[in-house]
Amino acid sequence: MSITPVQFPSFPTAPTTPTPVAGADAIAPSLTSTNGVSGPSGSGEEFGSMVLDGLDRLEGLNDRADNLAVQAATGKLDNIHDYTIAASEASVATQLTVALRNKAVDAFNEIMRMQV
Amino acid sequence: MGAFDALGIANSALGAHQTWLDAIADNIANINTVEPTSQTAFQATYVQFGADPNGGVEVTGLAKGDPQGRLVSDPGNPLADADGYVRQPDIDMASEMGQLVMAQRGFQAAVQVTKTAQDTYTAALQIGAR
Amino acid sequence: MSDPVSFVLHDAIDGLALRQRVIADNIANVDTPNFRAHSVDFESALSSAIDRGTVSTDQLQATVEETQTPVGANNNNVDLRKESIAAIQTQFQYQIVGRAFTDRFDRLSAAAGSF
Repeated sequence: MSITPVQFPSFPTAPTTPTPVAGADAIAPSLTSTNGVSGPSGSGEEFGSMVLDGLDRLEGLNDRADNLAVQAATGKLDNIHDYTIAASEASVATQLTVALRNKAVDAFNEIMRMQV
Repeated sequence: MGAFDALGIANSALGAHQTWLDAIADNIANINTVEPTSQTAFQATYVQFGADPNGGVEVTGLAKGDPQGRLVSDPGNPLADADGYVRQPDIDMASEMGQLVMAQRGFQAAVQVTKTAQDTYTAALQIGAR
Repeated sequence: MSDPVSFVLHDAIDGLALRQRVIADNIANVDTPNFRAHSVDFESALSSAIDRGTVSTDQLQATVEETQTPVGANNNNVDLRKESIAAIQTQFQYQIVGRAFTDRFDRLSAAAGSF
């Protein structure tokens, strides 16, 4: 079965050239400096692509387990442990992905609940 | 299925050793079968094994023993010829008994292979099972 | 579940159950005069259905044919050793396909259960 990738909302991009605020340099110079560190946008895209990679890998493991199950059904399986190991991998990957998704959704909700 | 090759191979061993046991039993049963000199002696059966290229063993042929047998002097035997000879089979009891033990051991070992193979399959099925 | 893999597994487990029944029948009739042993073949029909891409449930074309083992005493051709090995193999194959069902349902529950 196919899993459609979830689209995460992209975090608001930080301005690369901050608008000058009088006295800001004295208070918090690091906040106004453009020191080459990619802002929240970079980490947002990385996390999103990591999750999509994980889903692709999970779909691959699922397909492999299904193929081996079909081989077992048609009498073409070479080793029983080929199927059981692939099924265990797919099952563990599913549980891991579900746990990651739950944590990500919880974190998102936590952030949305923050009083600003 | 390729996963169960061990069972099929053990099955071929069981069949081949069963044939060997049958031949040895026949030889031992006929160790005292005398024939007149005008006919061939009882011929022992020797089973020939060959390796199956796909795995396992197969019986490639059944060789027969010496048709001349052993000429033994037994004038009192109703089958004896004019000189008092009869043909006895050319079978060595000690050799047959030794082969009997080997055939039985081979059969038992093949049975053990089937049991061990089943344990292996069960263990493979336990991987990741709930 | 109605995806093709479930249909394949369902057909396979039906075929294996039929094979188990036929093997039991063969073993029960090991001494019956004039009896002919039978064997079940569903794998070839299932494989060609998969290759054609036309797998759906209730389409199993399992064939039950007389075996070609040589006839022995009583005009009976049951090879007890071969049938016993086949019974063991069928039992393990049944367990593998059963595992396949369980694993797929578990994966689906894990993905769906945490909503």
